[in-house]
Amino acid sequence: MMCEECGIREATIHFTTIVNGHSRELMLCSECLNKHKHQMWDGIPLGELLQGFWKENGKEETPQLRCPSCGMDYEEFKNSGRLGCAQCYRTFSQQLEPVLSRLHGRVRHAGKVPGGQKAAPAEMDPVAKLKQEMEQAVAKEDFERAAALRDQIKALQKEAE
Amino acid sequence: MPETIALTSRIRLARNYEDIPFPPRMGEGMAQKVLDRTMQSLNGASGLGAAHMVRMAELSQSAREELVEQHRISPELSRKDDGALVELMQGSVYVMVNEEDHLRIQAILPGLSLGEALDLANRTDDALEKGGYAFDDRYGYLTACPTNAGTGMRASVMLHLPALTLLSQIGPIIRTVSRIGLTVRGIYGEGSQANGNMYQLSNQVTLGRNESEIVHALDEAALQVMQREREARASMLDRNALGTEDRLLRSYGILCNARRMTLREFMQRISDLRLAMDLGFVEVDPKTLDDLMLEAQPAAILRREGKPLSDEEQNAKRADLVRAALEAVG
Repeated sequence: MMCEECGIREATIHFTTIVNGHSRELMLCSECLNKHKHQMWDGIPLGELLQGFWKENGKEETPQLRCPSCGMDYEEFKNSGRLGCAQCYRTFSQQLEPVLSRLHGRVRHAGKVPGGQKAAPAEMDPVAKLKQEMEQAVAKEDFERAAALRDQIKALQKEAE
Repeated sequence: MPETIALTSRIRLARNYEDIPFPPRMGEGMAQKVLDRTMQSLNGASGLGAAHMVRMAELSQSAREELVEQHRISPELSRKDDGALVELMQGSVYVMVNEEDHLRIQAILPGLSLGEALDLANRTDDALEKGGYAFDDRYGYLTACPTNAGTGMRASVMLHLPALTLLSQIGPIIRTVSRIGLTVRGIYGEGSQANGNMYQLSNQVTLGRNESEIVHALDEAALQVMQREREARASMLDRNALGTEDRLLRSYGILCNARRMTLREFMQRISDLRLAMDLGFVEVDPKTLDDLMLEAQPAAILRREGKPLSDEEQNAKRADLVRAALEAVG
């Protein structure tokens, strides 16, 4: 079998990554494997993942946004999935929110803050909190508790509606 | 009997300076500015020990590859001439400068010790923040890639899981931990294990949870996976103790006697030997194995020989090295 990445060399390695439950398998040659080993350092094949988000979000028109600080435009950000500077976070904030939300679940920093203060604890909505507890219960294979939590979540969601 | 399922713990913090574009968009001279500012903060800090800095541009290709093999730098940094590596606290902390972010602070400790590693990384971070970090109340520490925004922290544990691998239990475990914002990565060869049955367990989510929550979740998950590995080892012995001992000690025999060894075979055999050691079949100092794992990698062999080697020659040198290391302890 040929390497699925370059299509030139013989594939010798079966490479699997699983991110948030989505498994992705590739047959690779050793040269292309090295590129993927990079992910061992840094997580997910981002370009691809983000492309998925953009598609799902479905907004076809491209906003004419350009970062006043580093000059990155929206198109470039969208294609690379990378931000150019600190100011880009403010410039593209509206486009970034759904991406951050999908990547992390919550869009509110809750960790360390420069200058030695602690961040104010993120006000977590009760459904998110229960969901988190449910995930933990599932991970511990405490399915009884997970089921009880699921029912609580459903009840809360109904109320909200 | 010292058991070595969790090999190393690592904390990585991604940081950028507010007033300089992130590395992918830096202009002329900016990389130097980042490096100067970083060294100034580190040299002025107390309690971090002497800071040793080396620029990628000063290193040969093979020297850079060796740093990658030692997990001190990423493959990405090794390709960047304006990148640099700073070593602090006698090699417990490494700062990669001008990789994808201006700073990647990494603390690495043996065993399962994420809390201590976080502490080391935080002390380094506290010294470096004088440089003026890119930070936002809502998005936290700002990073070139949005997957790292927030804490900028990637915590990971390197686990040696031969019994779970053998019993095909890795898949279910990966699916379980992935539900709580963690990931497991490993490299599978066809049939046999090309990467010595080693897996990296790490957090995926960096925004919306604080550092100790993340470390705590990872710690818990690592302990559970380690417990599963122990159970898998027990069941392996239960089913076929003599067969297991025979198989593992054959690998020991091969390591002690082979005249040629590919990297792939080496990784599998050394995994067998580590398991044999954990199970008490043979006495070897774990440090010998850890050192050997680094010394037998391609760039390390190349550095020692000081000249390019063919695959055959490299395999012969690797076998020599392994025999010498194991004879010295056996």
